[in-house]
Amino acid sequence: MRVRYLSLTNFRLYARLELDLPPGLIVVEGDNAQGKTSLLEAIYLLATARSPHAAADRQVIRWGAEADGPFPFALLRAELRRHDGLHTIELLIQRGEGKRLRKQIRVNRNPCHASDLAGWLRVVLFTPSDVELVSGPPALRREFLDAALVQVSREYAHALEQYQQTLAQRNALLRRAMEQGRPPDTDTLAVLDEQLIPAGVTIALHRQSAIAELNQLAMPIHRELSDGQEMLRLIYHPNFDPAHPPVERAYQLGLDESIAPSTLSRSELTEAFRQALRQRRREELLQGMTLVGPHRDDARFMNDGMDLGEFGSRGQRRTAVLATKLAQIEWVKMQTGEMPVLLLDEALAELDLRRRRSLLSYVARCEQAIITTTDIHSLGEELRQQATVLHVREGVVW
Amino acid sequence: MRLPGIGPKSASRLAYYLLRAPEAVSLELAQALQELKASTRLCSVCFNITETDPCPICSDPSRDQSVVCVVEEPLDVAAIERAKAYRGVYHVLHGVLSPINGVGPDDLKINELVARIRRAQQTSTPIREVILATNPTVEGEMTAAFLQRKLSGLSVTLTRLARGLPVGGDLEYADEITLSRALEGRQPF
Ligand SMILES: [Zn+2]
Repeated sequence: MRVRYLSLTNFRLYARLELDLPPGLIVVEGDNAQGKTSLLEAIYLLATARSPHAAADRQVIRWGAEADGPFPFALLRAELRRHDGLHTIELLIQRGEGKRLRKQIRVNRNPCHASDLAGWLRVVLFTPSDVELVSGPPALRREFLDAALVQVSREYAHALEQYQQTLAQRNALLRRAMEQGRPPDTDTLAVLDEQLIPAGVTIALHRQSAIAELNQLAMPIHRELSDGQEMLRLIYHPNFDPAHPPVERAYQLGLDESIAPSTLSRSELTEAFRQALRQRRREELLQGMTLVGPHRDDARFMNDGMDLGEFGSRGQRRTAVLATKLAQIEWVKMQTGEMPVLLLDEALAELDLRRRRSLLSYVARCEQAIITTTDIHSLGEELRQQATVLHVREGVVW
Repeated sequence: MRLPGIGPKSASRLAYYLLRAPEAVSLELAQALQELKASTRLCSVCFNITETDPCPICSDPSRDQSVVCVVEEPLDVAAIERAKAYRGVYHVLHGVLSPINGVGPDDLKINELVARIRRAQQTSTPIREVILATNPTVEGEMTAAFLQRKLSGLSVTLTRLARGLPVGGDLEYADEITLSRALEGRQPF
């Protein structure tokens, strides 16, 4: 699949952009803070309805767009060419009451839920901060899994939306009860639990198999990138899975069967989640928030039984992430039958020759890849020859 | 003050219009608003907004009193009535459960619904079916599930509107054909 056309209105630096995108390799060249990354971010947002980095939604709407009216908005639109034809996807981001941003989605002109945007456009993003995925907080790894999964499974996207909304209601109920010093309404809590549990279990089941599949695909890639020296393992257990200790302590176990993939079924996981909620009820009432569930999950990167997040060198972490992301490309193809669009934000700069070559071999297999760079000459003659080069300055592309 | 559906732009347009129009226009509007408030109340049976109590729907002998359709807002009653596919009666909750917005069971007409069903069971026209027609949002589903728990002891059949309602899920915005289909295709809950 590929993006044929991109239109941006009031998105970050871009007051207005109308851009035809050719197939193959596209190099976007420009100095820092001119709008290169925002271009990739726009495509990523259209693929996932999620922000690719922690800056989140701040300043998504172009500074100065306020002058256009009382409710400033950003509009992102892409035309896609896929095996099943041409499609148009649109994301309208509007500042509503207070500071909250409202997202509205249209697919082929029909309004739909945010979770219905997922799966139309599929991307794999490489950025210089990817290495944080290994050593950063668990939220980064959950976000990686969520963004990967929503693109290939609408069931996951719906479950995630349902889970997050239910969780917000449940937390509000617990917090209010705590503040007022009396127990929450038991029927309301029971109803929320009955909605939280199936959504949470769907999320856990998908994460479990995604990690197992990604691991399978990443291992040979990683072996090659590390000269056959090291063995990568990705591990994940739902945090309410009673059969396994919490993942954060797994590195003490070493590499053995005790961290083999969980084989719990949906009904077993359902019972486990229900039981975990029951066990921590008192604590939840005291703290006024939900303490178990996939919003507290973690996954770890292990190298020969050692937790890379705790003990890995920067080089080892970088290799692990690269292998995982390359595996994600294969995984998207495996899940959907189509190669994703690759988004490479300054991603070549920090790679040595071999890793760069490995990444470029995937670029060659995709229908479209977009690379940003501050220095086009750093890319090498051969690459420049095949690429369509676009220049960006202050939100203008030519 | 803020009115629903009226943004700053529309609000200033209305204000300018009223400023320029003859004084009689403003007075007429003020009077109409006052009468609206003075002459309307909630129906003591179904809690829809009405000028007479019980409301015209509750007091219509041709309506099937044994089927009660539970909706979030009076506007939902209007939407279903427009579709002309439903011959039962209503119960208006005046909202949905939402801990985030501080709305609990006691803020809705839920106890009133339970009492209404209990009362009817002792008459010759008991309530047979309760259609849970809250919107298919997280709050709407949660409210439906809550009602299911509350009504489980009473011998009524609970049904839920069929899916296929539009995005955002508000009954208020559903077209008539979609609404008729959703009513016809209602499922045991
Ligand atoms: Zn009435």
